[in-house]
Amino acid sequence: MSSTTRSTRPPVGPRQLHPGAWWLWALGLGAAATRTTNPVILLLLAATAGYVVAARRGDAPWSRSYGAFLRLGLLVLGIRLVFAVLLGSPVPGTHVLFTLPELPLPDWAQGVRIGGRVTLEGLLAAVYDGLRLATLLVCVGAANSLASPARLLRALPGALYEAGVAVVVAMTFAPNLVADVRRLRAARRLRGRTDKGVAAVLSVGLPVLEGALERSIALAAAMDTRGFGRTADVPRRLARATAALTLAGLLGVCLAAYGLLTAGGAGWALPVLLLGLAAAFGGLLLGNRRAVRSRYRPDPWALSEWLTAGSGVAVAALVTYLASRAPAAFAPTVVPPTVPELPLAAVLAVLLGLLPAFVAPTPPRRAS
Amino acid sequence: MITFEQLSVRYADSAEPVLANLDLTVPEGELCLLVGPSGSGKSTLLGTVSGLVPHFTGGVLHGRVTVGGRDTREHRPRELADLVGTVGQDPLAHFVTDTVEDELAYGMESLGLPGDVMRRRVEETLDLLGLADLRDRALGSLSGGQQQRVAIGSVLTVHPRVLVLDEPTSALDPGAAEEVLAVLQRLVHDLGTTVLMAEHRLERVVQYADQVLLLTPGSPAVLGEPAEVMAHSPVHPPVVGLGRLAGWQPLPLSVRDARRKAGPLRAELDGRAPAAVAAPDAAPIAATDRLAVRRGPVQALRGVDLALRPGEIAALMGRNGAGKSTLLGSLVGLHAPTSGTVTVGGRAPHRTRPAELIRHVGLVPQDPRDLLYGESVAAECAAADTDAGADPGSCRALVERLLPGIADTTHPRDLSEGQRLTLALAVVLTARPPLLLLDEPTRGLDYAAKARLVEILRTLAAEGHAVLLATHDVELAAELAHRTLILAEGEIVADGPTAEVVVSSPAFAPQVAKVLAPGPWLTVRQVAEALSA
Amino acid sequence: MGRLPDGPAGRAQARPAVGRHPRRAAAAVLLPLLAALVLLAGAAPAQAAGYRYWSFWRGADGGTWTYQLQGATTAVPPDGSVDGWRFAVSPDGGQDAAKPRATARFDEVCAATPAQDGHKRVAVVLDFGTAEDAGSSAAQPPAQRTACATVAPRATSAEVLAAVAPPLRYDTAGLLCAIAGYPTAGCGDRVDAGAAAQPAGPKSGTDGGPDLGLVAGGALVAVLAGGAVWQARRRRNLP
Repeated sequence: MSSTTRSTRPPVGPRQLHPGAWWLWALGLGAAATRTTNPVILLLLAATAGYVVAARRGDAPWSRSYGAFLRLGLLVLGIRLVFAVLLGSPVPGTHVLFTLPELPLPDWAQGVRIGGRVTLEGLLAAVYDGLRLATLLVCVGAANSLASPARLLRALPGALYEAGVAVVVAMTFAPNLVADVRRLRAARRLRGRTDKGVAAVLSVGLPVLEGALERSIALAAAMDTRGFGRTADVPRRLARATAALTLAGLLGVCLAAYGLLTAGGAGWALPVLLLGLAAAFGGLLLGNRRAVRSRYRPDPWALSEWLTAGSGVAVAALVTYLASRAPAAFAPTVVPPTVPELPLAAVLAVLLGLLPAFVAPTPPRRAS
Repeated sequence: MITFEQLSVRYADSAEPVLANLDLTVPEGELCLLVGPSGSGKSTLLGTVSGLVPHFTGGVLHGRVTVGGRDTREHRPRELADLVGTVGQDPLAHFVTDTVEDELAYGMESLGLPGDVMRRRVEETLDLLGLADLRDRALGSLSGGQQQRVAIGSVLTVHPRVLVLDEPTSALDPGAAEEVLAVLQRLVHDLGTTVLMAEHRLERVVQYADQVLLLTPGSPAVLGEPAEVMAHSPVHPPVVGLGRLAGWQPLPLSVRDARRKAGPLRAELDGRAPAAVAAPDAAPIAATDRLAVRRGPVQALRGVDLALRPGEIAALMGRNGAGKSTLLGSLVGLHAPTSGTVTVGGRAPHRTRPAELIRHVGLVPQDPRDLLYGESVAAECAAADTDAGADPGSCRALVERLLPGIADTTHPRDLSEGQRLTLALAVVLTARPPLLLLDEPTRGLDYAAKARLVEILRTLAAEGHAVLLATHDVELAAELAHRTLILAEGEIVADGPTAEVVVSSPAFAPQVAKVLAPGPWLTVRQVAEALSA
Repeated sequence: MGRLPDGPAGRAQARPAVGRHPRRAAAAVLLPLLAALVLLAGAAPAQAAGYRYWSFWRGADGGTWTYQLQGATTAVPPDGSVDGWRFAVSPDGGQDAAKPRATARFDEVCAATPAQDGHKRVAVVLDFGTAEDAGSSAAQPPAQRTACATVAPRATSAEVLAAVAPPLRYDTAGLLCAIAGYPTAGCGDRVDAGAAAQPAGPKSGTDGGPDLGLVAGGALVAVLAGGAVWQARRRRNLP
């Protein structure tokens, strides 16, 4: 798109921060969380994310999702603990807290046990590990409540837009489905059947799916009448080249991902990844010619965005660096249980993540 | 602007064409109202204009429909998007984005309009529809009228020359419907937009129409001046009914025109009064005492006192979100009270087993389909008999009585709106609940179906059922209810005999009451009976 | 997102070329991609690789070592046995891994430790490996040492280790990464023969500045959480 067709929102006064900046910031915090099992640093990361959300979230419905993610994080932590207690922890310990009756298992199930001794070391390892996962969830929740994924998709290039809309529609599908199940379970009650139990939920399955299908069709019709999917005429060769480039690019990226994740790919995965990305990017650029869409008031990328995204990247980079320099503080000793250290540098690095609470513009308030 | 040439549409699964040999031209800049009973092909006709028929729905289209010179058979709906704007009954099904401003811009983005044009048009549309204060609001947080205005605005921004509306006000309370209609009138008058609109609630819209297109199954379509068409139309609003009864010429379409002509009629009716309806004074079968219900963050009901007696029909009115559905839900135990009490047949509904509760109270929900999950009418009835513990055949007998001539094998989804409502009603009545609740029963019903419903409910009340219906339909309340309750912000703000409550209210008064005020008349039937007496 | 440059000739003239140009571009990208894939995929197996980890041995008769097939958490050494640990870069085979360089003699290791009733004695030989194993000539690994553990009869090798060589470091899957705090980082890391190895040697733990301690950390978290609640309240009370 040329500059004349772009009239970005002016970067002054109350406005929404660019969704990409929020996601970069949150993912930076999340990446930092993966580098450590130190519970104090993890809690600091979660609290930092929480403070920024409290200070800078809007009042749209998705802004309330932070609480849901927080609860989800606690649930994950709880499940991790319950598993560690019931199935035993892989980390052996000598400080036995209590002993559960152990279920005798046959020989072939060696290595698996149910019940038995619960050690302080095992629980601590489970807490640290669960806390790390919970913190990661909290970071995603922070991004979600600061900028809805739908807004992030709006910033996608034209060629990816249709795929993006499909994702957004699929995402609204789930809450609608939940509402339908609730309504139809209430209707079961109206017919004198019980609305409790699994059977009640299952029996409404078919009507719920029917309803969902009807809604999808209605939405598809509405979108069609509103010009969704209009394309510009392009030569067939261009269309084919676009498809080939995109496909090759995605294949390359997948291959590289496989290489990066398995042993033995460290050498070739990176160049393949870069080539794949380049091909996919080229495909996207060509694909943009086919898309006639323009974008209404794109969010600007101004100083606040740089600072917000930068603070997230800085947290990730600093924590990663510190964790490689002084690993002991970032992976506190569990055997034997010790009090975790808290290096000043790590605290300062994490607190950098608070920057958006001060530099990001306040979102516009809505009379409601 | 819109030309139909020898248009016939037939869907694959039906033998009869939905529309046959239609030859019409709708001129530019007119508001053309489509009227006709259910099943007369109104929605299909609208679909042919937006291109959804046949591109989206399938079916076979013969003849030609041209809109602004474009043949809709050769252009897909998306290729007509810059020319035709389509808005349906349910605005939420129409929304693609999640805030007002983005939704207004969506259509323009699809067309690839330049940024500065989009910016300007969004601002213009916000002003035109009075949405400027709502620009950043999430769509889900808007009221029904606001949502419908946003839906209309979202198609207006591309500057379509034709606007196609399928029952745009049927889900709205009277106030919200006024908002939407005022906007439409402004579009026609100021911008010269051609509007093609189908609507069952003629009392709301007929006065704004420049042309009326009457579709009747089995007879040719009639396009003409509203007053002329209304003089012969099988579906007509009460004000037209009154005009026909009094023999006014030309037929008035608005309350204002009718009042000018109503002087002699008012004089004639002076001193007479409609037959008084004896208020039932039996012991209440259901009551709420300072009932408060909280739903999530919303205090839906605050301190509602209500008593319902056998033989009584009560109408529950109030704007969208006033707590009507919550009150009905509390009476069937769907919502537990946060304080206060509900008793139905001596029991607290939310603590009663469903199988037990349905013998005391039955609710027909807003969408009767929620209640129906059988594969056929017979299966549905058999299930209802089992659920209610009634003798086999009880439900089928009720269906036969309320809805004669429905085949056993018909799938509930193939029934018309009115038939489906009646089937749901029969299912609920199988357990013989003395208290019957209906949530928005007339949504999507034509006048014939509504008249049938009125008859059924009257009979049930005469048999000793208490009926409570939540509705936006002031004409229905006037016709049917002994008593009207008005709910606002979760509180009952008016409760009394229907005549007293509605006549004094500008929003909830039926047309006849407005025409004959200050007389106590509510319906054409009362007037007719008084005149013939 | 810009569109592809149309060239100086402008749009009208560029049109016919559009079809050819991208295909060439596609080929230009695809071919090297494929070539790189083939080359790299072929080259990868040629590199010898090993893993840097603590291998676990059982002392056999005559002071020799046999590979312990069970993990430390499941193996229960009998009274009078010898557990051997060796930190080295070893192939992933187990049997071929480097053995502890010391011999396994229970009598020598536990000579000074009297037997106790209701407890078993297990000798532990810890070999921290060579500078080469550590991956850096600069960092000298600790010297080999032995210890004699007196533990409960049902104690596993892991508990034996915890008794005589704390702190131990495990990863989340329960893999033993460090014994007696060595090495400070990494866990079963892959080592390519040609690649420059990362130093695994011990470091001072004070690189991150002074330790603030648990109390200060907790206070900080509490302050942030309190601030978040205050912010949320403040926003709710705004008009």
